[in-house]
Amino acid sequence: MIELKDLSKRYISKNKYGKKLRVDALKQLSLTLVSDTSYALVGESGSGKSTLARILACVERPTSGEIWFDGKNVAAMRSKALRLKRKEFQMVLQNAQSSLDPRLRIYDSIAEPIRCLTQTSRSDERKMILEIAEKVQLPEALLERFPHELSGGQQKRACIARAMSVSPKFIVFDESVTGLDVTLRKQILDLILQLNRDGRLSMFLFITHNIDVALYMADNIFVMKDGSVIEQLENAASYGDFRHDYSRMLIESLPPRSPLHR
Amino acid sequence: MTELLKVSKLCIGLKPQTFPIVKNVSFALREGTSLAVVGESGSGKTITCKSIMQLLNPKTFQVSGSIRYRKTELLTMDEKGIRALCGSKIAMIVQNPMTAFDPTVKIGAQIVETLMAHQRISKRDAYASGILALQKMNLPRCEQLMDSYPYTLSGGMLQRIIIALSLIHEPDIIIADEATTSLDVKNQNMVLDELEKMKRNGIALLLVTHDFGVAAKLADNVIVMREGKIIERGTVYDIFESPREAYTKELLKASILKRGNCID
Repeated sequence: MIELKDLSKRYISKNKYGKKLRVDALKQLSLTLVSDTSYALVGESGSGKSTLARILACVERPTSGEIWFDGKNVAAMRSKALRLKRKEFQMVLQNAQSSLDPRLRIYDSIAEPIRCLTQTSRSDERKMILEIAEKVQLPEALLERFPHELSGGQQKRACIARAMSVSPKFIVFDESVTGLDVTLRKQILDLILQLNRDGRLSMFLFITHNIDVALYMADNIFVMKDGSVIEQLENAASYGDFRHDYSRMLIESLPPRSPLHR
Repeated sequence: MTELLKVSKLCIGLKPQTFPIVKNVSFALREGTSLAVVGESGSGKTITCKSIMQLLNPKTFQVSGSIRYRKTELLTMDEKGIRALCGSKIAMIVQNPMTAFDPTVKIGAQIVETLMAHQRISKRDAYASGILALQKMNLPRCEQLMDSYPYTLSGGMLQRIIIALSLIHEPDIIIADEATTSLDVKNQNMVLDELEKMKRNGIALLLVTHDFGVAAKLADNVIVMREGKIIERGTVYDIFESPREAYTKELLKASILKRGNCID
């Protein structure tokens, strides 16, 4: 279980006259994420979704607030202790091409979290990687290639494999399918759902701006606006379950499913 | 309704072996109508658009067939003629608004630069008409926008500025190449509404998209491309209600996410 208490994040930037500007990306956010459950988070650009993702993946620290995980407050941990915890949280980013090191072969990219975060012998490592590659339907022959020699979908699979290589308890997908074409998008979403069903990926948070994708991926949906969660749904099944005006606006912004509903 | 653009038997090959990328593509675009080109990545949609705008490097691409704007053939036109036409009468909106602007130059200066490249106009007048164009797009605080750098604005905002800029010369045709793919649903809706308004004003739209929702909202006619070929064409109602090709059906099915049918 992950519990977020009064989480705030403030970014400070300077305008052209050198005056400080404060941006509150997260405002006193409290959430509870239960183990073995899948979650989706929707909101428009600038609502703080990615900040929350980065904090959950321990890439960034909150300005104030607590993150309770396995009885420990992760937000207050020292860097060294946090390093060990990183094994439990992984993240898959939007742009697969830019999140893979162009100089590393796919095999090494997938192996990196194992090498950095665990002590595993090379032969065990190979076994783990081959197994994970099979799970994400990435042919073994592709592992020796460089990222630019792979198609967009294969790159995405490699990113998912990398996130899963250390068997984390929790994965954050930050806009992981935005910009993919529809066929590929469905393949990747189905792959994640399949992994979830097989128990390989028991708990995840899927961040998206598309309510259709959110409904497809999870029963538990959070709607975020201006740094706060404004609506929380359990067992959401259709548009009708959303009550908040802002959620309704997001639904109305979706393009029609057929020209008859213009 | 006059026919604005007629593409016939367009073939594009990659030199030196002339590896075919676009094969025998023909379509026509009339005043005030919109045509959506749908297909997955790599099906040749963007290359087709670029060849209309004469943006393909003749050293790498072999283009044959015919692309006619009103009565003029674009493929055999000299560069001067192309410059006068493309960018003013035929405008293009590209996919990623973040990379379409020069990051080191303020929005205002880039708008002025574009205007001065296409018409004899003083800097001051160009600035004034730039502000006017932004106001027409319902953009807030236009003076301030002219004075900001691209990275300080959101993707939706930048995309609307690009549309404003493409409208300045009163084009007949707008080519929107995945214009809303990188935007969130709210901004996408705003941009689509603007495009719809332009269509009502008589501008012809060529929409390139893999999102069937965009086609459903805006298109009158649809062509489906796969591996450089047009495999199906029809009105938007035909394509959505009674698609013939298996590939079209597959694309439609993938675009509508419904729980329960996730793993067949």
